[in-house]
Amino acid sequence: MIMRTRTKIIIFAACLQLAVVVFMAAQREWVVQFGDRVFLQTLPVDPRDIFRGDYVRLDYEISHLPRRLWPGDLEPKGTEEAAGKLDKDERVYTVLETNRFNVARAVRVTVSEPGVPLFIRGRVKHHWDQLLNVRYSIEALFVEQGKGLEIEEKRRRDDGIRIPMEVEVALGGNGLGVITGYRWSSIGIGLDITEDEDRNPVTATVTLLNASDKPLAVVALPEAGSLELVPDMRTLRGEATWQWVGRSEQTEVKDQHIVVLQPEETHRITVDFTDPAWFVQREGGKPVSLSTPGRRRWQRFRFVYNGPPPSETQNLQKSDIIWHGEVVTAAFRGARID
Amino acid sequence: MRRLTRRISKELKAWVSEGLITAGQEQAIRARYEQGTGTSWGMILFSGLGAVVTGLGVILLFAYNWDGIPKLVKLFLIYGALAAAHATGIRLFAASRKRRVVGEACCLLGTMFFGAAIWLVAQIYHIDEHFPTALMIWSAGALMMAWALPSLAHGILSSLLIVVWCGMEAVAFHAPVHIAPLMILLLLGSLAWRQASRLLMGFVIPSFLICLLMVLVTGAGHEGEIVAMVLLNVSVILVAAAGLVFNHARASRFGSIFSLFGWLVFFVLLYAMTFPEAAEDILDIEFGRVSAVPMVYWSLSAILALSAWAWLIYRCIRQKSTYRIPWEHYLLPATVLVSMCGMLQKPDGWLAALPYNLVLLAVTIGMMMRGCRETNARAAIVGSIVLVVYTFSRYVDLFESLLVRGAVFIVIGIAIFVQGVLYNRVKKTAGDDNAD
Repeated sequence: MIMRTRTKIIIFAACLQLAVVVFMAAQREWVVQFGDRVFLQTLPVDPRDIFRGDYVRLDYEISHLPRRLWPGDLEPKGTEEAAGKLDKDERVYTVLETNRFNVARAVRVTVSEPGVPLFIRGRVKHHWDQLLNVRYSIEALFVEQGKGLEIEEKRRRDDGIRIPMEVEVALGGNGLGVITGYRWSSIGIGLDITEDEDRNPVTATVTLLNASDKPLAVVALPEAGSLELVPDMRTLRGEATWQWVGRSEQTEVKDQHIVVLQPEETHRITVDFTDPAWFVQREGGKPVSLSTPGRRRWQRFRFVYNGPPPSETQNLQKSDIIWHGEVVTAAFRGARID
Repeated sequence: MRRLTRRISKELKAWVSEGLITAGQEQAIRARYEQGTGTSWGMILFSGLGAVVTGLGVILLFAYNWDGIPKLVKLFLIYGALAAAHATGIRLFAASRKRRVVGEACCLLGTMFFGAAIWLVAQIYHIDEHFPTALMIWSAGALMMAWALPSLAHGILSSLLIVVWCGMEAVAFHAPVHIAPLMILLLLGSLAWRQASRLLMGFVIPSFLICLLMVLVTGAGHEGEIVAMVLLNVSVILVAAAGLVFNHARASRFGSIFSLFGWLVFFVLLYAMTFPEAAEDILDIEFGRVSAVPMVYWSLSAILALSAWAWLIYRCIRQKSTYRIPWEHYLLPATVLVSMCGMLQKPDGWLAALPYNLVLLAVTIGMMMRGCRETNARAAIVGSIVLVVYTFSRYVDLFESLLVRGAVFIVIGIAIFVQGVLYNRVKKTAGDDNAD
């Protein structure tokens, strides 16, 4: 009788082990099968995990959330003494919105589960006045041994052009995210900066590459009108932000602005930092050039190429091969590129 | 036990041929000692090691992450392996006493597959959660099986996994896992106690000390010196524990393990404190800057150390124990008290180190004398080694004159030589007395 009871206990313990690993897999498989699928833009960061093999470390646009995305229920904690509501490792929920390519963007962040269909749960990694860093437990993509390096090499080629990776994530009803795959952007982007003898940036050249295997068209508006200059969200912590002055009016896209790129062909767009159209300013301040020395040089910026929406190009020639997506360069600070 | 059985078996034939015992008596003695020949340690060792290495191989195999294998196939493979290993192990374990060892090894393999399954699921679903949690789950699974079977191999695996978990949290996340040393001491220590297993206890105590060290170092912040004081107190508790279990039927077998690790840690810390700079540094603790948790550890360990010694001394005085406390052992609680005073007074240089130098000298001389008197080779040897190491240290920092250094070395050398002579003489005298 004692032995039988003992045997039952052993069987129970063994079954519990099996149940734990089955539950781990089942929970995520449920999300994969029935969850909403979105793509998340990655930022570049190729380590090897001794237990899980090769993996690619991922960083997402939605991992770095600016202050404007926090509604009233989140308070900043800029100093040690400040009474804030957010602690490291605290659970937060990022509400998402997808574009026509099913690429998701962060819309707002809450501390309680939002009553909307599309959101992802994470934990606070770091918290500053103007920036929130969040981990979503989807920061690693495990691949077969050797493939990690291949992915890294594709993401960042020898010619300095980056081909962004978009990770497909299934989202569960409770915000649990599970990586289900990835795809590569059809357009790669590179950045070069020239500097003067005092190491101030003078010009920037953005290179667009057709990374696909078929012809694609990009839009090259005059005076680099296809590009935008944005602050790098990853490094805005407690300092006041410098913003690009922007464009007063948008040029209409015409046939002469369309540039067709064959596979592996590139197109370059040059920006002159001394041109007032590319000045930056603080809220309520005067516009200044990134070429002149000053604190603004401490802040990182990035260029964004935005393909025009289909509605603006449907009557143009080559409209069927125009690329409508968005791609972002590496961050730069002064004349230094990350 | 098997060693004794083998020795007796060899001697029996000689005894019969010398006419010391009859053939019938030989058979009776053989029958008595060959019953329950105890655990087959070789079987445990090889089958246990085999299970662990196989399990690690499986983990690495899946770490290769074959894209060619569909996800569900990978999952079923590992689930199947886990279930099969445990099923086989349980069947063998329950079948007969003879097959229990193999059964235990199969279950150990199953637990290794459990670890492999955790990592595999994490790999398949690209789970990037707080990775030390996986080690915690794995160690919990091993701990469950350790108690369920019961299994010493699982207990050892669990203690190692808890140490690694604690280490990963400390190194990668600077997070102290306060529950880890408690888990080891209470859950695994009690298993070792229940199973009267010196082997498992031999893993439990050092695992506990390592986890405690990691927790303290991570949680102590700017006042890392308090770590040394806590460990000193814990070492004193361990030596007291060795004395307290002396007369306990089941626990007395653990006395030597408590004593070994207690003295080891005590000597290391005491030796460090004989250096003026180290003693001054360690005693210079700003209580206002120490956070609550390390202070709790220090206070609790000091209270426990002094209480344990008070209890031991009380038991010896009231003759509730046959344990005799060697006089030099009283210096251990005295060191705790001296350290407490030092932390309050914060002396400088040699004033800080002097008490520890005196304690070290007294303890080693006491051990050497006791070694001679009781023909206790271990005490004599340990005392001699520590004294020699100590002398070399003071050679470097205390004596400037070569004449003085030379004289000290001669004195120490003669003392050790004399000790050897006395030891032999006492041993011979004791042997002659036994013969009479």
